[in-house]
Amino acid sequence: MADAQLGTAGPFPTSGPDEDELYHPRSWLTHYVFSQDAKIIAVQYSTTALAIGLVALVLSWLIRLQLGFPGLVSFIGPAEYYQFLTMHGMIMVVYLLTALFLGGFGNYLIPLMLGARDMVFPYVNMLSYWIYLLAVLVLVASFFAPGGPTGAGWTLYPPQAILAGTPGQEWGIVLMLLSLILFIIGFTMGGVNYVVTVLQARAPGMTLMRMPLTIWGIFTATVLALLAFPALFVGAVMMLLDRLLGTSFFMPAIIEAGQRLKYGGGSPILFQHLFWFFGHPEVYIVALPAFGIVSDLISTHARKNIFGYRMMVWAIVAIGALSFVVWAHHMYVSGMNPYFGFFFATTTLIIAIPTAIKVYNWVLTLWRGDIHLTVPMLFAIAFIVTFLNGGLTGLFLGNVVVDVPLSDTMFVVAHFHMVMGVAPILVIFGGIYHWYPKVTGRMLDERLGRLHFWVTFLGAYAIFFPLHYIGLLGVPRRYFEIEGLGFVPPSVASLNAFVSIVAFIVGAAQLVFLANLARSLTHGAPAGGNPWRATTLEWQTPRTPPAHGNWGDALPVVYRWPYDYSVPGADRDFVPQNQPGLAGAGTGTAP
Amino acid sequence: MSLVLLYLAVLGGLAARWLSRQRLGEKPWLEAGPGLAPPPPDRPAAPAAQVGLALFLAAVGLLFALLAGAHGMRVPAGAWRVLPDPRLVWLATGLLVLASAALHVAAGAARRGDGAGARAGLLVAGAATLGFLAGQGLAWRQLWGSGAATAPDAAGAFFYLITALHALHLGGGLVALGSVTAAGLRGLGPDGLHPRIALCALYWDALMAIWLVLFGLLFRTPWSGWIDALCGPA
Repeated sequence: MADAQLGTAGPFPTSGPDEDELYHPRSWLTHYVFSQDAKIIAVQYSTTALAIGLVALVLSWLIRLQLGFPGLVSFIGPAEYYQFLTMHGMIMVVYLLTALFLGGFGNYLIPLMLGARDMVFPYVNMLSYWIYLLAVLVLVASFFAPGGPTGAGWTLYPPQAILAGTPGQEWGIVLMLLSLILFIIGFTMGGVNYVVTVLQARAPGMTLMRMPLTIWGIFTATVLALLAFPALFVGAVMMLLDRLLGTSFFMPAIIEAGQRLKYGGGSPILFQHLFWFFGHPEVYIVALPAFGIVSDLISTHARKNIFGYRMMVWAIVAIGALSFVVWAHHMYVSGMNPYFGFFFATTTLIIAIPTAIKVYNWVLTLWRGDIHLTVPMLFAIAFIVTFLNGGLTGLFLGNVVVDVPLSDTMFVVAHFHMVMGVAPILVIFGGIYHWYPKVTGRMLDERLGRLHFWVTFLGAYAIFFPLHYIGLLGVPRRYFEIEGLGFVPPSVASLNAFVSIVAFIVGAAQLVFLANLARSLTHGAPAGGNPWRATTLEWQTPRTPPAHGNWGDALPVVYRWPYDYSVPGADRDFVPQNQPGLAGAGTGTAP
Repeated sequence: MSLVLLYLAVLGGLAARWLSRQRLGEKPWLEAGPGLAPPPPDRPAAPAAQVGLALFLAAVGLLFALLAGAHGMRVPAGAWRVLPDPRLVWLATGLLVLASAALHVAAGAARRGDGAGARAGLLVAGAATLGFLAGQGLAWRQLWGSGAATAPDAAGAFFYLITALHALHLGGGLVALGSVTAAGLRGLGPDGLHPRIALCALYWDALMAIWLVLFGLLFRTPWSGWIDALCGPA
């Protein structure tokens, strides 16, 4: 494909690795398997995350099978139910969402959107993926270990997580903790790469305030992750020692089956602090990249500059900072000084301010825009609605007096699934539909995409709206069966059956998506270099899919911010970041 | 947990200071042109490896701050101190300080083009670090012999966990230091050695600073009162 770059770095100094400094693969193995190219690593991360996500999807089906039709199948007993629940939660939060947003989107988009040739430490980047894969394999191994995977719940609270009676107490919990430790080591390698690449390898002219919001989101989320994961690491190591060596970091004096155990004096609350010191920023580790990606999708597909760019940047930074001082709102029922409860409720509610700024700005970007209801745009709009819904129930749960009666009910399940399950996954889908043409050179099938969208979007509401109601009735979460509970009206059973049937249908729709991904690789319509007529640098590469080194002989030069859509006086409705003037040179895009 | 919050506040302050220099107040929608901003800094930008290492060390610092905070929540201040011979640990600490200083000497020598001085500094740093680790090993043995390691309170377990994680980080550093030393002995010149030694020096400085805090936490030192106040329950 011909080079149609507009601005390339001639006299300007380049901050990224030069072409001759790049690692060049010499064999098929180093090109496609042990690759140091961030784009290949991104695809590796994404496919691994989607594969393990498929396992989580099947687990959610099994959970819903039990809740909707208790006793229908014999292979789901209480132990299996808890195991499915635990693995579903941990896989979705850590191994799918975190890995896909940062390892997948981060690896692909950071160098390309910033005009760099690659990550600054390509070898470490490669190691990061392989350690992640090892972490996933260790996690999967627990399904085949004696006793099966842990059933301690995704929060892994001690003491029950390592006591006999909890499924997976023998091997499952050990493998889970080992897997988390590996994941954190692998992520740290990748995370340092992402941050340093943003700091040091931007193309000439790419100031921080000319970075797309996608990069701001991924950058800030990575910083959060680098500071949040150490808490999970510490917690995992200490629990592993409690389980394997009999230390008492988290284990109090306890009697099990009439026998006094050797533990004594440990603090389960300490684990909760460590877990949530990681756990709450984790919400924003997932949400901030989603915020950034949605901003870019909306601006591109509404052909309008993002409203309040500067406020959007500050809001991302503010949300990131605040996310470290809210963790104990997950522990209101654990007991704490009332002043602490007041403090954490206040900080929790304050986060609503920068978040609301973002929602208003997305809506104002759409206002009077030239909205193209493409599949990525549908997913982006669906995200705004869903995040708003989930955020509003967060206001309920952030208040101590409301949280206490709702704690451990299905209302909480519905809340966090909306805000950090469905909402970010909608963005992931939107992002994949948006960038798949750049990754593969082919478009995804539009009709299948719309079918996938509508079933997923409407289905998610049909699943989680009823769960809010069921939670308000007081139905507890994590119960294997609720039959016979006096306070649960009979209608809950039929509602649960309805939710389960919808969940099966929504799950099946994801298989349509996977089929679309596979089929379009060979049968998709050729995409060209810039099918969405977008401004950001990844769409201006000389070749599509971008070649190793991304930019050919010279790096691009950035002349403007990434949201010059529908600029008065321009000859097209978009002005690429590397275009010096308003009039396009040639097509202004790669073919 | 005050130590953790203080640490985060310091990191937040550094981040805010950096962000304040990045012209976040500019209005990019009004600009067009090859804005090669930010303007040239007063001194050359730090090498990517140094920035990456500093980021990694920030995460490592938080790891140990969290461990210290956890220690503060589980082990009451003054409830347990100094089971291993404190003189031994003071000696080991001195060796770690020596290693860190030797790396700075080596970096300075390499910068001046003094290859022999750089190699000598590297060898001293490696030997002193091995001495520190040997001292820690002896302290482990003493503690094991006292029976405190298996006592039901968590103090012994914390001692092992914290010192082991610190030693593990130093061990990783020793691999890098060994590689730099080997390169120097194989004839790599001072220009090639300098950036690598500078990275080692940064790493050793950080691990020495972390150790000084841990030393005050685990043993009775003149600064233990400060550490107790920072690490105690909020």
